[in-house]
Amino acid sequence: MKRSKKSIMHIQGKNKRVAAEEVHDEDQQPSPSIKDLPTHILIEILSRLSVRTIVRCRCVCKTWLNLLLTSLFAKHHFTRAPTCPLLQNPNGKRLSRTLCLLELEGDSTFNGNGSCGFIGCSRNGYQVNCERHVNMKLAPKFNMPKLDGAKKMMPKSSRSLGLKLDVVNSCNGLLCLRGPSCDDPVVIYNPITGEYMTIPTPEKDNCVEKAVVCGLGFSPKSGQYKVLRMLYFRCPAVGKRLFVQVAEIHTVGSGEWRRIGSSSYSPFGRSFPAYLSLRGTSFPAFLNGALHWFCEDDESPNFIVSFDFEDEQFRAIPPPLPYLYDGYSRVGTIKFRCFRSNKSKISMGVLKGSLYLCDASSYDPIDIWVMKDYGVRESWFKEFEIDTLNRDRWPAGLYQPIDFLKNGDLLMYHASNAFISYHVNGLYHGFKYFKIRNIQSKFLAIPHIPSFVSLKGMMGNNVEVLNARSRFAKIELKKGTIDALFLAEVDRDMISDSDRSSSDDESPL
Amino acid sequence: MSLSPSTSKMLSLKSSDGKVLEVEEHVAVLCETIKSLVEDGCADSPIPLANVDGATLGNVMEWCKKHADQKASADDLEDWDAEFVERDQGELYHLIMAANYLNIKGLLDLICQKVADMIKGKHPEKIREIFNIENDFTPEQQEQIRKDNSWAFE
Repeated sequence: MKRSKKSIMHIQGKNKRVAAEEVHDEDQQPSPSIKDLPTHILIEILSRLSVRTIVRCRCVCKTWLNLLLTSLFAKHHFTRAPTCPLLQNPNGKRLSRTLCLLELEGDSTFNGNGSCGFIGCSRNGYQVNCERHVNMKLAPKFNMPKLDGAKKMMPKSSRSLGLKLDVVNSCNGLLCLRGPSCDDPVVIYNPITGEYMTIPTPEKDNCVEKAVVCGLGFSPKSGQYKVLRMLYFRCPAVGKRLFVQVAEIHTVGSGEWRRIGSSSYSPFGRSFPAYLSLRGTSFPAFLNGALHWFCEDDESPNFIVSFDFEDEQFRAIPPPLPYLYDGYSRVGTIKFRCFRSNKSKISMGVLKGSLYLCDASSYDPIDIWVMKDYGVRESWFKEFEIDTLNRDRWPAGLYQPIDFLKNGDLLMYHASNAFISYHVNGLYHGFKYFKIRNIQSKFLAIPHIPSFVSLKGMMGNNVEVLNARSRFAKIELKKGTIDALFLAEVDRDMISDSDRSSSDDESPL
Repeated sequence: MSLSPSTSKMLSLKSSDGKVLEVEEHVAVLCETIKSLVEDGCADSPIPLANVDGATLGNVMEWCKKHADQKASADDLEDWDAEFVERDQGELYHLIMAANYLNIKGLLDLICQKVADMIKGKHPEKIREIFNIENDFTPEQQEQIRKDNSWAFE
């Protein structure tokens, strides 16, 4: 994720309004107020707000509406927007097309009551049914696009599932979506603007056995968006039981797929684990022009692999030092510790522009490693070592860090359908536990940076961009309206035992 | 005049309404604009600040003085800042304009966040009321725009 850090302070807005000029119209001199600020400062202020408040601000007056629709605003907002979890219910029929954006700097929840409730701070005493002050309705919600003609693309057996799409990954504020039964990427979607575009269907090839993994990426140098897909390819010359792996790239706007690696192609002398085609414990992370997968495997050591969209190469990312110990086994030329027995307790992602690994496999402590210099093994640094038995017992299971909140707390997804904000201040540390209510099955939390940047503007004129909101919003609201999801803070003493061990017995897959 | 770095040199700043303020150099240089003047050696005479009135300049320098204080802890500064921004909109406006003109990133961030906090979570009607903004949409436009953005009002 390369986000431009260009300051907008250099850009003086066209319609810069200076209060002094208006003052003369009045007999009395009204004191100038916030609404009289120059455009670039208004952008500076409004870009700090949550997506929901920004959209509400469009309805204030024409000046604000026009300002908030400029690409200048959209770009500036994206440079400072925090990573937010997008929630998706993977199983439920009713929720599956709906994504909920949980906004961290939002309107009340996480920062509102400061550090009350944490160890060492004065505790907010009262409790209502074990849930405290926070009971926030989750919004905004976004409906993922339906695909006209998508039925044709899908195998007959899956048509009854409807035209639901799954999220593959998030990159630069865009989501890559795929069909429920085909592993091929089909749509690029910006949930905030509602815009989406379809990815051309690859040509039918009878030798293609199975698509394995896919994802959307951006190459900063060429400014191109590209979609990757990897598949098993049956090699007719050698016999139908031998499969080789193939990687293909679609450059957005080109209208075609091209093969970048074929039979001899084998990045690590081993195959990409097949279950990557399923939803993993963490979504592939986009950073520095490359997508990163954390690969867990029952039969061989786990590893991180990256695909660079600039030079279109796969690479292995070295793990933190403690994971290179005597029990390693060999993957290519890089040695990895085998931690297979702790499947689903390690997550990977991006925190403040660095790759991280969060290892909750030993339960105590939970280690969060951050790679300070990208690609440099020696730069892995244990940012947090969370003492989970200290005073309040932490729930066991997978933790997935999302981003730091404004007050410095680290927000993490937890596999018990909950979010945890972790607070450290000197010797004091503690956590708050927020449970998602009104959801039966386990939701997925996709780390996503919301963006108002227009898809049309990003992709150029030779792609067709549609809008999911204008076409489907009304239909969707009428029937089978989705129950609202609520986020509720639960007292740490009241976290149920099933939540504490939620992912011991079942994986969040 | 040349002073050793250990003794604090004083700078005089002249506001738009002619008031002259004597400020220690290490405090005044928190303003990037003044810092470049000092570095270029153009800061000897009273520095004219045509866009900042005396009252605002006083407030700005109060902020700079606090933030130039090496002894202030982060928590202390946070509490102090929270109190500092408790002002009416006119004052906030002048502080933002001054922080922008004098190029003080920390102060600009602080006030912008304060104003953002005044807006967050509010409905358009309330925002108009707070900032005394005229609703210049026609009823038809109003209805359309609310409809287009209805997802943010659920």
